[in-house]
Amino acid sequence: MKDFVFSAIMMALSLFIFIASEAFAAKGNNALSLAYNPAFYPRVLAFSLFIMACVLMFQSIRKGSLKNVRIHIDRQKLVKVLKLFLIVLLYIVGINYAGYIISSVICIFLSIAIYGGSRKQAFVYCIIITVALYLIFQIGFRIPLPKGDIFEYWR
Amino acid sequence: MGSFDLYLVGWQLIDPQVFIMIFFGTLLGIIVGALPGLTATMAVSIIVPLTYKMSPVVSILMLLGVYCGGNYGGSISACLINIPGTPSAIMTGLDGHPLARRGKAGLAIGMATLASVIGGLFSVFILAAFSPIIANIALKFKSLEIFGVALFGLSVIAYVSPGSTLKGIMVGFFGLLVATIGFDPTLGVSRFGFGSTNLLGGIDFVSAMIGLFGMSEMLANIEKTKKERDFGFLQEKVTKTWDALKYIRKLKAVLLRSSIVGVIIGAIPGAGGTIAAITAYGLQKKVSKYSHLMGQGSLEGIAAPESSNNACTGGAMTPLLSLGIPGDAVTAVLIGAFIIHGIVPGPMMYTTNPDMVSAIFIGMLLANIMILLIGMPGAKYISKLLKIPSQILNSLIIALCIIGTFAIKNSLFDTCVMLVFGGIGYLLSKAKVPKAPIVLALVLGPIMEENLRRWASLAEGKYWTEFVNAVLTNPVTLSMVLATLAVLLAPVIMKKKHFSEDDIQFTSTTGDTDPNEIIFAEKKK
Repeated sequence: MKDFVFSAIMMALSLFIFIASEAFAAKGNNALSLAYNPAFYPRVLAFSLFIMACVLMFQSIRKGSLKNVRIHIDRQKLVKVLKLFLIVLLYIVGINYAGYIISSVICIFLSIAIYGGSRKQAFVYCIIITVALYLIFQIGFRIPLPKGDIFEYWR
Repeated sequence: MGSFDLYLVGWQLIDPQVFIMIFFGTLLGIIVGALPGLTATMAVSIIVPLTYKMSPVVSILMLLGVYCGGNYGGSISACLINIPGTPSAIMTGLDGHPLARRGKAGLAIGMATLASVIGGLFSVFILAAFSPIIANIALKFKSLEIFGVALFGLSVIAYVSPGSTLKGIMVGFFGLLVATIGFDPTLGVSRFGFGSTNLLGGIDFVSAMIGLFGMSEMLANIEKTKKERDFGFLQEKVTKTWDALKYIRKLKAVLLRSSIVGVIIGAIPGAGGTIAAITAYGLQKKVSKYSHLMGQGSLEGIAAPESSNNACTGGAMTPLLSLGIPGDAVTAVLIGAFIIHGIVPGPMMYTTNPDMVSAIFIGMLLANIMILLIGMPGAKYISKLLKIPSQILNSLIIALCIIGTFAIKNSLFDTCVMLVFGGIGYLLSKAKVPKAPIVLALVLGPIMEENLRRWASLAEGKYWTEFVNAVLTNPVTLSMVLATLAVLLAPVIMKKKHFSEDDIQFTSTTGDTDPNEIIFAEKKK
């Protein structure tokens, strides 16, 4: 089943490449030119990928993976992964607006908690990690960390 | 420059700062390698952003320290808790752990350290001896030949990656397609930009790397229970590591044979330390008089895979330095570090940056010596890090992934790219599709396209029929294309049994045999 889904996604991707490459494809004499058609190379790749996806799909159907389709999704695990994904997304967005320190403290706290740490542990280590990374990046390697748009705006 | 000068000129660049950073890099690599779930590839990926403000020599040599240290570090957890810190230490635990269970953890780790150092040093000498020769030949290569070499490199990684070859190739093609995002290399036309200025320069390689190897692992780790993630059940004490020195002379044949295996396998693009360790262990089992004792705490069983997987480092660096093609996933990530510092790895380096090439040889030599100096006395302290709660470690790595990616260009977009690739990497692991071909495709894709298109625009042959004709008349490209076809069709013809890490079962010998009976097979002679 996994192979079937994987090949279907790859097929869709290769079709998408074909359609999207129309925007910059050369027309007329240069349509089949390797040098002067910017779309030629990606299209060759997409076509090859499509063929391979067909082979994989055929193989997975032949193996009978579609006969006993049982998609087992562990909801608990899925929710955990999605939660972590959202925390990371929040961190990424937050770092730009609230700056490094605030977003790091919040997101590392949440991350430790979601990985199963206690609140006390999360509270202590979110501060330690934030300060340690600040010292490494900002002080040690002189790589500027964002202060956040909100603080820039207030200033 | 005389040929011997290549080995001396780099010493001018080795100042105390470089020396200290190699030490820190190696230490960091050993620590990361020792922690199960964290690989050398991940370590190098997340440390690359820290090196932006460093000089090229300092940063590259520090990363090489991480690479060499990371390869060795995996053996510590393999011996102590029977969980390899890195995939390449997968065979070390088979004998290292039973030995540790008999109260000889120090001897097991000492042997792993000495074997790693010997394998690593051997590979550096081979790298220094052979890479200039290969580079000299490769200097004569033109666009079409370079395209052929890059194509072959890509096909090999798909073949040797764990799991299905077809899926490996498919995911490689996915990487090649991702590499086409951005400006067209010959005409400068924007491709797949969808009106976004962020996509004009293409997908940032380092961000993709950090996502694929760092973030994806963290997403996968959250699925595990706390018990599965933590390794607090460590009981063995690591003492008397230097005792291993007594057995080195008796093991010299094992070490030499395994180091040769490691260098050869390391030089094959994509093969890497895991396959080298498995091959060396298998070979040792075949040739050893005491093969029946392997798996029960034999020192041969530790020396063979450890010397082999560390010998891979020099082997993997050989195609990187001489051809510009990475030998494994870590060296693919290293290419990103080279490029960030304005160095293009490949044969030209030997003429344009000989001091850098020389410094790399010296740096790898020093990194292996550092492994000895850190590993022998420090293993007992490093082993204590296995008790760090996983929630702290994972959260630290997540923060490092985000801050590290952000630090590249202060770009929110790149951080999002990292997260997207983290998601892709996670889904690929779930579907048991290898991730390494994407990395190699992202590195080799632009090289392949640029050289192919350059050939097409310079030569008369701009149409595919003329391309086929040119390939058929060019011996180097033709042999590379034929080799690629052979690699890709081999599974169909030979019904290859795919290598899968899942296939390797840990026959965890729990020390049921007499502790004094089997320590070192040859001792019983």
